[in-house]
Amino acid sequence: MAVILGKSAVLKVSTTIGGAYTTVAPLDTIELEKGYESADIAAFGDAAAHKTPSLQVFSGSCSGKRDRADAGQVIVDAALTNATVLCVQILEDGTNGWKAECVLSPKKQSAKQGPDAETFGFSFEISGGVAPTAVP
Amino acid sequence: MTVQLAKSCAIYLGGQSTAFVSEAMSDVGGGTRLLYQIADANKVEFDPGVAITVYDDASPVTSTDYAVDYVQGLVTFSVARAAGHTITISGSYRPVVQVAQANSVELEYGYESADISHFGDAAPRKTPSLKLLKGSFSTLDSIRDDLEAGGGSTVIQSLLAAPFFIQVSNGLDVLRAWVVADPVKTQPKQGPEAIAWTVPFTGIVQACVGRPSTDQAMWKWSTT
Repeated sequence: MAVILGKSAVLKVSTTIGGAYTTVAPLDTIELEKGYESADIAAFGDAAAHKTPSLQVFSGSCSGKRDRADAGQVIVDAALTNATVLCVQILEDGTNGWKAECVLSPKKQSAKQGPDAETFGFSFEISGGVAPTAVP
Repeated sequence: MTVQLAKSCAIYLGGQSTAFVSEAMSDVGGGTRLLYQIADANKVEFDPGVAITVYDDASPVTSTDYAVDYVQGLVTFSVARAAGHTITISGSYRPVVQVAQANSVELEYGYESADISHFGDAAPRKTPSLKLLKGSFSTLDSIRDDLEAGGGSTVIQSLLAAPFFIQVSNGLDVLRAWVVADPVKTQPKQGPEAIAWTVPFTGIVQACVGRPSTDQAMWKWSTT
């Protein structure tokens, strides 16, 4: 059994699906939902639920500390400012994972008087009409 | 890595509209004489409700020959100005007043998406659509307090009835935005804590008096 330590996870972004990806840092949380939605195809006479896999799902979010000098955060900021899609790559162990073209939900940035750093986070959802692809 | 410490943040609100006449503008476009900014850094928040006139060597420039960035005090000419000419501007600005007792701020910044999926798509198909800004700040000031110590008057409660200007800075980045307030909230509780007010807001587009519809006062991030 080879467990994957949470600290190994990496989120990278690129402006094109086949382009070079840049790590977004420093993050402390990444969430990913990957799979498919189901279509209900139940009909009279069925003894149980009758469903079939349908649209692919690839969505999630990340959060961490705000660092305006981080190259990945700069790319995210540009996409949000210019209202463009962004290709998101989630590597659960730093090497293996998935990627997809996504639209971003509004970035959340917050600050509270105290000793802590500003935090930021954003959500993403697949948007290209095609299934996510495996990495590498 | 350079994280921003939350304690470096500051909130400012736009005060009373204040006229300026023939203010100097500086070439900030690397010498191209296309991009100019009002030289007085305290007056970059132009009031979109007051007409602006730009002058080239004291002669008014045709209003369609330039674009105005109302939240950063910038003018972009379609044709470079002649070398040695003096560019000035008349209009009005909203001097900002610090919300001195502010102690937290949250921002949501980005865009909404339109679903453009069609038959045959294996996954959702979406495209970026309207830009979006939402947020809130909390302060220990009462919304009835005058934030200005001097002769002017800026009262949060008075600002809420109409679009107002807000500036959020963290020591490195500055967000300047025109917003409208959502209902403010306070929740006094028996105990040792001070009463705080939370002011939620949503970014909006403001029409700019006397300007083409392509000039829209809304919001922008900058480093100064």
